[in-house]
Amino acid sequence: MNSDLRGETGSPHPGVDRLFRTLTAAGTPAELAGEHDTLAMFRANIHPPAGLEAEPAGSRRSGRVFRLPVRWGVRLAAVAAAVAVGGTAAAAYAAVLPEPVQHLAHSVLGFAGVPDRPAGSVHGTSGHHARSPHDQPHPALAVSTPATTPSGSSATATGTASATPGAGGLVLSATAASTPITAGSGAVIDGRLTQSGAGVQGVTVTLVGRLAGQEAWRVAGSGQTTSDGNVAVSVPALTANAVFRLVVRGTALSPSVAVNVSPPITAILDVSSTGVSDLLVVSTEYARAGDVVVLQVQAAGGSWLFLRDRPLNAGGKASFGLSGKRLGDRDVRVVLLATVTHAAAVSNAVMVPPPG
Amino acid sequence: MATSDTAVLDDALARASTGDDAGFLELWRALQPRLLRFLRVLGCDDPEDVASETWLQVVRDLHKFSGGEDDFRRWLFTIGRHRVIDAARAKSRRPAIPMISSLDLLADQQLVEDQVLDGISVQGAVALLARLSPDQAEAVALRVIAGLETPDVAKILGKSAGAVRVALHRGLKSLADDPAVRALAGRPGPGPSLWTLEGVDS
Repeated sequence: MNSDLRGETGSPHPGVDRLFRTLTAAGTPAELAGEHDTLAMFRANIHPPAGLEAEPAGSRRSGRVFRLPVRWGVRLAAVAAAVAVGGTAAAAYAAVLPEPVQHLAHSVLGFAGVPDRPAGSVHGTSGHHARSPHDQPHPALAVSTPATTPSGSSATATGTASATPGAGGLVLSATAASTPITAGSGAVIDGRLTQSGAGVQGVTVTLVGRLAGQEAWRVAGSGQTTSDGNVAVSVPALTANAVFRLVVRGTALSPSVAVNVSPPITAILDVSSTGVSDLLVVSTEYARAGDVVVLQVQAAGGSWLFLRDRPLNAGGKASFGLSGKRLGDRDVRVVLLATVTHAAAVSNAVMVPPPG
Repeated sequence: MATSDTAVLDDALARASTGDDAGFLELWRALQPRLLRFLRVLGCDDPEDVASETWLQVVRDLHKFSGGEDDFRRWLFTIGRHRVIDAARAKSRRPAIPMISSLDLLADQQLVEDQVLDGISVQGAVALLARLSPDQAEAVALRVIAGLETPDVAKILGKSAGAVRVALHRGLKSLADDPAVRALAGRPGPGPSLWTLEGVDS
């Protein structure tokens, strides 16, 4: 470090030497105390995608508005509808969605473990709570879940939940089988229902999910616990980041687990016949127009250095002009920056041919 | 920064620019302590606060940044310096360099609450550097704490490289003559000297 400082300053002094060594020493715990806040600041402020920058300034403080692709609502509605038609316990949950799941746990499932609402609003934990007329589906839900169940199948659902031995001591865990996953592929949420450490068999567990940027929790699937209390619920074709929780009606609520998706991204080099400028064409799926891709070049030491960035066009594509003269024989790649709706993704590396 | 650090931080920088938490934290852990020390040398009243504002601006503008770890360091410390000047203007006064007169400072338990290296705490070292004239203190801080090359220091300070070399030379001489710094020479400490006896021509 500071190779020429010695010549400039000519410090021959061991005291100065000590002083400088201390000034450049690794951080002390006190100096690094703000790490948690810094990370939160980073997540809240890193690189708003170009498409979101045109918001009115006034909306900045209250958080950005993230628009989700239409296909999300459609996809989840289809899942909810399929579940409802199946007549399983999930249908009942579909009927009360999109309430926040905590609220759901109290007012509808009668879950007794979440100190979120006044005790008076908590229904019994028997699981046989009969639906009153005002428990009908939220009007907004009818739009996204056309196959909302009639009250008859709700009763069926309550019956299923009553198979569990009350709320006492039941613990439901949840983990994501893997994250991030490739966008467009299915996610699997594993859970285990236990009582005093022993698995509880034959209980219907519902998976509810909330897509990035949305307030509503929706049913994403359901499954039955096996003899050792395990359950695995799969979510088909997840194309945006989501948070999931497993629920046993009136009985148990798992912590939330996040599953992030990494959009597929490919980089193809279109080598110029004239040799003036090659074109690196980047294609993505499930990213959005305005999401930013970063062109990187590999340094001699193997690390990847920033070259340029660019927003994706409406077709999810972007292109970079590359100079074979400058980048010849070096590897380049493209990184899709993380947004609220998806994780970052890295393309294949492409070697730029030298000119001529 | 040492060459190996530079390669590691180049990579962390590239990852941070993709929105990667871990890459950003790596950068922050490496540079936040230096930034705080630099701000303290400048007499910043609330270095933690100014450092937070500095990082906020860095994060917001990271997508416009291009370059390696050394460019990033130059950028970070330039922003930090501007924030100190802004904060001082807001208080309608120039940045004040705190006058530390007592050698007891180095032994002061309150100041030596963090780790003590080579017989001197980081805060004690910062205080010793802050005893220089403001021009010299700032030049030495950018050169040593921020690890910037002299021409970069000159650009940030809006001075000629020659003027910066003079300030560095005088600052180092003042430090070497400071009895408190001299006293450090007699304290036990590990490792070989980074600064060897060479000509003082600049």
